Amino acid sequence: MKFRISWQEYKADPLRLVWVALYTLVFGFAFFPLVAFIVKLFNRDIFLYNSFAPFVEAGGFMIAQGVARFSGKEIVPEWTLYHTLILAEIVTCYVIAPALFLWGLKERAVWRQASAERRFPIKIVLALGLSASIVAGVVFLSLAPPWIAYSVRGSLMEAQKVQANKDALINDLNFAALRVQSFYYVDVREGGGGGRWMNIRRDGSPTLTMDDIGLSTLMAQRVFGKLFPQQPSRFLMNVHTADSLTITGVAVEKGDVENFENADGRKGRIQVSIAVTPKKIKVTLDNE
Amino acid sequence: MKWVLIASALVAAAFVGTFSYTGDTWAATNAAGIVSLIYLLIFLYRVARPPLPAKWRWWTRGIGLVTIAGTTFFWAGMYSTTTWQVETLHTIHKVIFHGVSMDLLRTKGMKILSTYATQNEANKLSIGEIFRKETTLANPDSSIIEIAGDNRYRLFAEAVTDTHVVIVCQSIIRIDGELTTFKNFDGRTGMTQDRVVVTKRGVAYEIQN
Repeated sequence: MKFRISWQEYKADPLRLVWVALYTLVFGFAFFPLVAFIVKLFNRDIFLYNSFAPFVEAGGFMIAQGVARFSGKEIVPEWTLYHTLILAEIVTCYVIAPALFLWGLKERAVWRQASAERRFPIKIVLALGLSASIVAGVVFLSLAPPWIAYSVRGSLMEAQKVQANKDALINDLNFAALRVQSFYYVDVREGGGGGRWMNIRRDGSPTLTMDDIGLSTLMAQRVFGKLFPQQPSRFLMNVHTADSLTITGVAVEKGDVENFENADGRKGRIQVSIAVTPKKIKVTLDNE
Repeated sequence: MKWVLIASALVAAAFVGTFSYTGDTWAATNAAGIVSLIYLLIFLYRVARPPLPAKWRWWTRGIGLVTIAGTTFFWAGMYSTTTWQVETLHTIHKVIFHGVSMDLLRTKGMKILSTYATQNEANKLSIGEIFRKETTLANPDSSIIEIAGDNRYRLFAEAVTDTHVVIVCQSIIRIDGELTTFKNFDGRTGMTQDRVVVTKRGVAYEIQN
């Protein structure tokens, strides 16, 4: 009662914005460590990625599951503490906090328009103080980070596209090497080389070519699928002796060295060579 | 207060219900997000009216709508990015599998073919006989030839005859192939699997799933 009389005597306005900011700071400092402590109490390994963005936690959880699956774990859908956290954050950030904040704003306007003899607006102070920091966090996160996230995603996709193209090329070269080695050992009567890659038709002429091994489709295309659609690479074969050759593959994506002279006359593309003997292969990354 | 409680209950029901039905965390998060979005729009409309002063009404509407739009954009971006990342991880896993599998199968297949092609004409063994002679089964009662990659891949002898040998490489840990209904060699379905067929006409490698 004494306090109420005092602030009214001094014609103080406990709902001026500067006071609201102070309540927010006080509640914020008290509230968040408390939440973090409660969460820690339940599970020592879990932590709040970001209390204002449940979708960031959902994304983090999905990636953690993807990594676990990558390590060979079978994923069984089950309710975890993460789900409780995500749900709690959605309810807190998008239902309770905005409601408290907007209700507080409205009641603040009503309270300030009312005539004298007002009690200290404890409900409004609580509503604004508790919700303002959460609402501020939600507003902040809705402005700058989405653009940053999209930009990071673009860079990631580009890097993955290049890596996928290189992997596809190496896979195809390995496949070509298998076809070449197989051709070497197959009898001439069965359509093979009969122990050689030169003079394969026994008429003194041709050496083995890419057409002879029939590498017309990309093996890796099926593996990468729609996620990283692959443009066909170019392959050039150079037969050195009857039992040694090199296949050079030139991909579509740009490699590290921009001025690199590719085997097919282009410049700067990813290029990988594979040296093949009947029993061995050796892969060299010319421009990766 | 009543509306806050009702909205909280609806959001929780959407989350729990969707998760129970699909087992998918993102689907549950999105369902709860849509319910809270509808609630927020209604609530914003109801609050941004008198007695709130006109200037505050415009600020509230403006910041509210920008925040909702930005959050939706961020949310959708996070959903597509993480979904893409998880799919990428899976693709990388498949690429590793097919790379290792091709190497294992090539080694086996080429060894049989080169032995077959370079033997004496007088005592020539068939392709199947060479395979039996050179291969020790990991378990004599099974068709497992080799367990590789830290028990992640298994090589099975699918068929061994005088004219051809078929060796299959299958992932043992869960790596889904492109066909979910594909019947794997060990009886499971939808896992990645490659095979190599060795005949006197050569070694043919094939990605089966």
